[in-house]
Amino acid sequence: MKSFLLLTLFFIFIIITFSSSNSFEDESYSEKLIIQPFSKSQILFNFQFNFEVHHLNKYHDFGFFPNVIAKLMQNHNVFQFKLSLTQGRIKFEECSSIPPITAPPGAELYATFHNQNLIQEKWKFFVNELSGIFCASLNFMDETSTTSIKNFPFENFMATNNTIRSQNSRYSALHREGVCTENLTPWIKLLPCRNVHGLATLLNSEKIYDVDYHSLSVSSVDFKEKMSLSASLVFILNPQKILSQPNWSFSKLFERKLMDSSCSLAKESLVELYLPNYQSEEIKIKPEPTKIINDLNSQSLYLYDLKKSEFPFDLSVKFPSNSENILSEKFPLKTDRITKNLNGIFGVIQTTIENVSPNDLKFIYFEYLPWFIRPFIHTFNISFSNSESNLNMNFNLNLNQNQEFFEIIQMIPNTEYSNPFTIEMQINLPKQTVVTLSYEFEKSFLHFTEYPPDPNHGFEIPSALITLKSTEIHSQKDQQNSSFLFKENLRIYTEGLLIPLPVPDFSMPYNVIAISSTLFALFFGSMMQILFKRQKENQNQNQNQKENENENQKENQNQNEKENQNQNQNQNQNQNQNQKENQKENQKENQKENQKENQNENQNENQNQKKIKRKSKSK
Amino acid sequence: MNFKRIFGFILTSFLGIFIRTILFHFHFDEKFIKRIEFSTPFTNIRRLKEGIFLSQNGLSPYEGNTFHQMPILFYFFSLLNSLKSQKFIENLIFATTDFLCLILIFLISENHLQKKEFETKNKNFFFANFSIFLSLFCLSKTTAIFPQFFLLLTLFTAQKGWIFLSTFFLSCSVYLDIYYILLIIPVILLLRQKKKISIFMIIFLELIWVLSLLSLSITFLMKDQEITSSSLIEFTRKLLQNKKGFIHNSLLFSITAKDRTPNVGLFWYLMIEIFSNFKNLFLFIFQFQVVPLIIPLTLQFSKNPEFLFSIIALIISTFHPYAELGRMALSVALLLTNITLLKHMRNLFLVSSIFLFSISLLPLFWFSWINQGTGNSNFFYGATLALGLANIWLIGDSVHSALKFQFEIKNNKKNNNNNN
Repeated sequence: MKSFLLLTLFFIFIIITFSSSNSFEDESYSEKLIIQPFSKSQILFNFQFNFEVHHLNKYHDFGFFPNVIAKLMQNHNVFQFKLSLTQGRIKFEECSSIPPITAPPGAELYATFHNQNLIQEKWKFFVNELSGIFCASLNFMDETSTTSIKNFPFENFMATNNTIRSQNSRYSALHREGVCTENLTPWIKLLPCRNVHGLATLLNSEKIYDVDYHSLSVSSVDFKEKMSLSASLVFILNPQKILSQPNWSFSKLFERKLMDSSCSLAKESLVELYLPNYQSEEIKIKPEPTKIINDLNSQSLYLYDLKKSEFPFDLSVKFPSNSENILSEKFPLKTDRITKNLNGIFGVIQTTIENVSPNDLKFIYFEYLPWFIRPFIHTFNISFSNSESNLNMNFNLNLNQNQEFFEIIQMIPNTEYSNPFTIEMQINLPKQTVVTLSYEFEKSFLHFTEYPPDPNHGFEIPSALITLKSTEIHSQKDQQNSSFLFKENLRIYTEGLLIPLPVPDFSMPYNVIAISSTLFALFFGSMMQILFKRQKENQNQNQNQKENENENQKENQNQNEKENQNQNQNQNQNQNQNQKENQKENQKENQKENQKENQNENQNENQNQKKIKRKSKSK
Repeated sequence: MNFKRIFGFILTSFLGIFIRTILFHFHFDEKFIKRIEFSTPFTNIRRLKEGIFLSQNGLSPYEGNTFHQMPILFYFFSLLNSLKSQKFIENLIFATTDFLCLILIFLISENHLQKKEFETKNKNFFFANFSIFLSLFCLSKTTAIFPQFFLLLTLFTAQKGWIFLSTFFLSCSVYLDIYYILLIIPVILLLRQKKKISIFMIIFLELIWVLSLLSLSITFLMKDQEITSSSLIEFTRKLLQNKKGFIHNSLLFSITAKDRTPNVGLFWYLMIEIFSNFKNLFLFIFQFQVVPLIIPLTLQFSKNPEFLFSIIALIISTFHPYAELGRMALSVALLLTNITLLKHMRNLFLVSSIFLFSISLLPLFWFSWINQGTGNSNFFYGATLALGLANIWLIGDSVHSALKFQFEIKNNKKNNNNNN
């Protein structure tokens, strides 16, 4: 019995292991490091980790495909997404080769959903979950900073039907998002070998955040049956700056080297080193590459297969003494984006794109503004100018008419507290020509609770995106054998903008409420007083009038007196005496009677008498 | 009209035309369009143009939350937009409307003077001075000039006793700016002075005019958006609920004081600083507080509806959520057509000096807050407060002096009777 039980257990164990190994076979994982010269003294390191699952089963028990991402995609009905967290900006003008994955500074997220219903809500939950996974504040990508993008800029995913892209896509960028090791740690957790084995051991967080440009990205596609994920880390560093010499090695740059072996789960594990063409004696590269391919677009490729290499693996390059890392190729486009402050709350955003290449180029320009920057779209001006051929054309935006040089793909006006202003257009830029896109905008005033904690810093506007189609570049590449090494669309990001919004005094709410209310109350109260008190005063005035009449009579008397001044002097004196006597009598009477009742009358009488006195004295 | 007055009239009009042509010739308007003191989001011409642009591109003009004006105004200007010398015609329209406002004020004051038993000096120079002030109104090209123009027309026609025209013009101004609905009371009083006509008849006429204007604008919008009105109920429901429709964007926009861009009024800073829990309460009180004042005002000035008209117009221009200097200036000019008021004003010097100081301080404080960054928002708020205070004083003072004046007339009659 015992032996039988053991046997059955053994068989069950074998069956389980076989089934699990079957599921392992459905998955594949590969890692790759591409090293290429970027500009005169800068080197670009591109770590790529690609996952693929064929035949998704019901239970999602993956071998090493990150379960978090798969669940995230399926819960929120996401077809594909791309997230990048970047520090620093690539200076495209200076670069001599194109980084394979470009990203704007800060965070950028693009997602397409399977269907359109409840897309806003799905996006909200998706973004929140993603921000939890990568410890980034992506939750700021709410409705107000999210827009749709029609022309899919990330072509490395397989092409699917266009309608899905245009309607179900969402794009958002946070220009201000800071990137740090806390984002790197969850990213490394996606990898099956972590940073214990394989290429990821090189990722020493102390070193890789001390570089000129650092971009971490994750992108994934869900085809229902199969799923793919690519995690990549790109950074650009300057060995001259770090090591004060052009020669570099892994151990010097990262203080790490590949110690024991490559990641055993990886199907392939490659290191590709691109260098300008040198004579083999001039340059010293250790260890010996498995393969050298020369004359590849004026560059030579040194290929290492880590599965076959010896360990510890420490790549080191020693350049000849008087060599310069020259790559003659010029970047095809020059971009510049600025704001001009016109008059207080008004300003102009101006983007200039210059085609430096010898060919005509066709690209897609995309930008969006958050709602509190209110553009005047009727001032949108597109001007082409070429100093050589004296080309000078000005166009205003017109959605109905397509011009020869540009075509509007979409234009969404902004709405308060919801969607941002978005413009996407295709521009056909002839060679050596500059296109200038400019429009005026007005800054709006927010409620005092809507300003960020440091309102005087200003508001960051995400950079505009220029997408050069890969086909466009490839044809060009064939023509003149350029050194551009990219298969996907080339995306160029302009500078982000910082626009200071006018700021109210945040300490004032109580004062403002009090003072404004006082003013309103003053108006209401004074009006009521004037309008209702008049009737009483009217009565008083009626009395006064009677007195005036008396006065008139007395004046008449006085006039008569004037005629006989000399004669009546004595009489006046007598009158005065009489009045005094009257006064005394009155006072006595008043004392006897109740004072309160007759006060007014007495006063009036007294006043009259005094007036008469004065007049008589003056005479 | 004697010779002196005709001469004064000609002089004023020449001065007005001269000032306007010169100011437009040197492109002063381009600077004034962007001044927040003269044009607000509710009346700005640039926003109007934005709406026209959007509708030309097949979108609703109210999309984008920039355009907040009424559809008929929008269609009027979109017709202009198709013309060749568009800018010149635009300038011409604003300048002529402004100039006609000036002439109307002159004519209204003439009507006043004919009516009064008192002899007062001709104060043409006064209006000439105001014509300079008013020319700012046309330079800033605010569309607030149109309801004001219709307002003056209403007063003029009501003085003549033309019922149909006066109700029509009033409904035009009400359509463009809903606050002028309060002016129906003085118009009724004025018309009933001239002709025997029931109150309900006038209100009925007014209602018909307003409703016809509204339905006209709705049909414009229907044509624009190609809404087939299969069922009218559904359409009205759509109209009310649609946040990109004109009801939300123009009618409710002025009542709710949505846009917090500073102006010379009293609402903007309150809307920025108020706690959102109390926003609706304060908004309701500040918008509604004018209404209970109308009743005692009407009772007191039932025999002087012209004054009632002008004082209500001034109250509206002071407490408008999107207050403008131009609107205020025109209302003050209208008020001062009752020149006899000046006689009894207690603190005219104080009020006028506050006016002068606050208006000259407004651009300075704006500059120091927005451009320079040396001052903060409280400075500008203080200047607007002072302007509001001056307005409030002016209103109180003029009501006071008007009451005194009425009283004098009454008593003079009595005195005359007594003397006789």
